[in-house]
Amino acid sequence: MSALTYYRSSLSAETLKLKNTFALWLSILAPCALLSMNVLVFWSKGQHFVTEGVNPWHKFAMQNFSIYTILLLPLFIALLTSLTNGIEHKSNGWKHLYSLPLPKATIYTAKATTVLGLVLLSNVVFVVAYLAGGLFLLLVRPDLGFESMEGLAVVFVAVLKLFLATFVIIALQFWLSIRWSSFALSMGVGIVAIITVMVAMRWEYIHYYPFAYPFMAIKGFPNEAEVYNLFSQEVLLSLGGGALVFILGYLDISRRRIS
Amino acid sequence: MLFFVATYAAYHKTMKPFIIETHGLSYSFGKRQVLQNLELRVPQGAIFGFLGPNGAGKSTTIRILLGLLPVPKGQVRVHGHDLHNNRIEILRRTGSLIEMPTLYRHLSGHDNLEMHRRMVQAPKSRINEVLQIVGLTQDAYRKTKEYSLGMSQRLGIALALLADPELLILDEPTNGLDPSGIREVRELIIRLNREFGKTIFLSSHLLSEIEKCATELAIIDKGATLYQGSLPQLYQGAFQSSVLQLETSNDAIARKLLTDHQYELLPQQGDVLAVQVQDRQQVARLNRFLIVNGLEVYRLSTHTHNLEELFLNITKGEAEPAALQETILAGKV
Repeated sequence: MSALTYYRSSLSAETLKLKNTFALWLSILAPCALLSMNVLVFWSKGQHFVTEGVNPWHKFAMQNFSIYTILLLPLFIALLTSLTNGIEHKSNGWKHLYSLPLPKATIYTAKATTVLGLVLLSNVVFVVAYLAGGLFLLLVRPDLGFESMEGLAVVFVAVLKLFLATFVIIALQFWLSIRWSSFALSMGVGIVAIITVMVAMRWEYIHYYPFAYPFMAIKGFPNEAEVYNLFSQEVLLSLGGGALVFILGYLDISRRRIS
Repeated sequence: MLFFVATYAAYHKTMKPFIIETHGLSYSFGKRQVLQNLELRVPQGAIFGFLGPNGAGKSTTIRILLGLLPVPKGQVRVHGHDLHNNRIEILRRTGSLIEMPTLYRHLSGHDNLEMHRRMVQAPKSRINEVLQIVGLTQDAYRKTKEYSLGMSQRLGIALALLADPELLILDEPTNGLDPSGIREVRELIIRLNREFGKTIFLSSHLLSEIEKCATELAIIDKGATLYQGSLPQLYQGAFQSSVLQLETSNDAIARKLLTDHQYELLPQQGDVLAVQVQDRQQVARLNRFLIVNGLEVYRLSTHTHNLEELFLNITKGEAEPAALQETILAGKV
């Protein structure tokens, strides 16, 4: 049997495992919750945000991005990874998984794919909820100018860039949560990440700090030239660093004795 | 020399193949030695009881057999292949249940099976078959968090059966079950062996459990094999050190007769005569001897060491060495 067959069967099992789990709901509900809060903000106080010459769609996106990148994403990724790997910790599943006739690498990769897929899903939900929110504001606040749907492409590219820039954080949290069953550890790291990013925002080397990559990646928004440079330094560092952490994480996990 | 080789080959052909073999298996966690030169020979088609007190190294052995703990080449062979190089091939033909089954509680029994089925790539129809075998067809679509312990355990066995393996490795499958649950699982194990021809490697710390279904057994303690062989052989070993109690119409005469004929009398307890006997034939001879000498024999009872005591004795290293040595040697053939 080929590695691809192993991977496919392992991945299809992982997706079934997500059925009825909080992790799945979280990746759908978290962006919706954020967007709906901001819809309320724009609904009631939109005039303070959308001033002369400002594209309301961009302003609405920025409002969401700032919270999303700094506050929500680090915690959200911590939650998602620890919930997904927690399924195994909770049901004593590792020894079972590793005693199946599957290469260990397949099991690891399938799990990692699942987590990446969940984050991607939530980014898609984010875009959909963003569009729905904007259209809703078009109905309830016609004065804000949401009827001209121009310059949306830059928002979509920014979200894609954001996703790529979170790769290293996902990899790191994935390793933490697969290695230790503690939920508090993942959350603690997430919280520390938020605080350090907020405190060190103006530090000259902040763009090397992995937890700041998502924020740095879309800092130029809505400047099209900056956003369209998809593989900027942060994104490249994130992809490279993430791949490295995934590989090192696997080496660590595959050598561990399963008790 | 040629003759030796030829006979050896012939011997090998007639011998039942071993499904699990360990050769001087040793394992340690850091400085703590868990297994020391463990020798196991599990014949194909057996229910093999793997017995030992808690902490004897049973779970470690099972984890090694399932490839969860790395061992060097040449120490473990399963299905005739070396575990070191053929992990996946071996696991494909092996089903396992380690202590509590791994059940995803948020999914139904059916979904748990479906998920496992996708990973081991069994045909879809197999799900209903295994549900039938373990008797969970009715409850297949209930969430497993509603399952009783016994049902969970049976679902665990169903999971192990999905890929239709020739070998089932069950680690303490009756742990924590109530008597009816224990019975259900035990009957299932026996049925799997008799009807479906599965070889079953069954670990337990309860001798009474093993005794009820195993055909072969190994007793280990502190990581080393203390006994390996069939159950009747173990009983024989136990009998060799047994005590015969008797009551006759005239115990005083009986006592004299027995001492005169070199029977080994034990200190009397109350009205009962106690004699050390070596085997069953001796009991019969003794009985006839007393009757021929005109005594009436009211009671003859062998106080066999039960297996539980024997087990305790073996694992505490207090068993009568001579008697046991023989059976150990006999069992190791």
